[in-house]
Amino acid sequence: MIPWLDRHRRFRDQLSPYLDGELAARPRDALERHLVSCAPCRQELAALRATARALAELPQAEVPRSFTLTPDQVRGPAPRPFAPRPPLAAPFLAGALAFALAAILVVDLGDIGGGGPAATRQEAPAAEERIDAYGDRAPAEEEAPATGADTGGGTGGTAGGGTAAGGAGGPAGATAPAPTPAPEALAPAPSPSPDQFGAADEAARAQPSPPPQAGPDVAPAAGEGDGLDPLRAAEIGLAAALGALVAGAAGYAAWSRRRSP
Amino acid sequence: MLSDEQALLDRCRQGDLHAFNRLVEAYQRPVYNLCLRLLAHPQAAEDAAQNAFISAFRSFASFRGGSFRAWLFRIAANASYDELRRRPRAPLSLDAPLGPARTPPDLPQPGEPLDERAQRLELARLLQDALAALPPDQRLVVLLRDVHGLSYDEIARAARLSLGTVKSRISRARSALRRFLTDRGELLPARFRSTSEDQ
Repeated sequence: MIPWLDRHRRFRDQLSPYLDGELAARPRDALERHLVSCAPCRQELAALRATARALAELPQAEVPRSFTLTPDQVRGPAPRPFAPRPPLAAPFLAGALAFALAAILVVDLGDIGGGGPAATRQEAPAAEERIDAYGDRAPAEEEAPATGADTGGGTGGTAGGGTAAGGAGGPAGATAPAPTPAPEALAPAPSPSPDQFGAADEAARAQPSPPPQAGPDVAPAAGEGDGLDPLRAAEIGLAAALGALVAGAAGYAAWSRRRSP
Repeated sequence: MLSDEQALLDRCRQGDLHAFNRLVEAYQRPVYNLCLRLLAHPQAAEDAAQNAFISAFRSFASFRGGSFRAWLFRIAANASYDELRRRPRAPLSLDAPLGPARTPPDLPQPGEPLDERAQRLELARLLQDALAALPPDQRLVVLLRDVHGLSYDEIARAARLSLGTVKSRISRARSALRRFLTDRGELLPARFRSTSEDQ
């Protein structure tokens, strides 16, 4: 930002409080010095003054009837019930619930689609990237690596099918694309995969049950099968419930602050 | 402010309805007009104003001194927003343009030439449209300032905002109104079309 332009904009922001006599002495003096040399600011000040004057001259309606209160009005119930729900809490809750639902769908369906724990472990970073990308409204080209990594991880996981070889292939696929840009992010995943798939297929044919030494951190989870991980689901559910609770409380507090006289 | 306002407020604290009604008589016109400008609907404004006074009497214990007018306007603004939510199906919207039937009645001023009156009415109609186009938070503060003449401090109390926020909202609202009117310069009185600096 050009310093002169920045200063000019700051003076513009002070025109309205200046009009109302709400500027302190020093900024007021500085603004008055600026007005001497700045015709656009003088014109803006004149227009703002005319606008304020026109508002002040708006015709005031007569009251249609007297609003004085009767004892019955004061004793009886309020004639108009207030809004049944806090207006600000509703959007907060809706957003929190939508986020929780999306999180459960993305993560848990990812588990189901991946078919195995290897996929779960490998796809976690890709899923986070996707959520971040949506959250930041990143452009499509920025979302591409996440999709590619997701696809690669998903393929590896699916091919792994709960085998140890598939689990071993995951980290290679996950680490390889990291330093490379988007077009290559897709490539490294298949490149190790054929070998891994071959090894996996052979291993699967030769030995249906996975050897635990192939992927010690993945193998224990392999025993949990293809279904939903209940611990994981409980974590997500708890986080979603807490998020909804906090958002609801914040919305209700804001609404209460605004409502109370 | 009424000359005996403080005495009336003291009596209101004791639950004196007669004293409160004296305050109602003094403030009902500005309160009704604030509701009318916020809601752009006479019947809704009437309901909101009545509810505001009922609510003010019932919650008088929460008034801790200071500007009674600012406290009352805050209740009126809340009653208006409640009324707006209560009538979701009605053709009420803070963002809806105001039709001619919704503008406050305007009486000719004695001795006012016809063309000047026509210009004044046209300006009032444009201002109504310009106000309706403002975001509700900006509309409230600029109404409190320029139509009802509250100080920045009173507006901060009425809208529960910091002084800095009040300043910036009034500034943004006036700039938006000024742009709205300038864009329709051919419909405005000369003082809005003119770019002279002597105003």
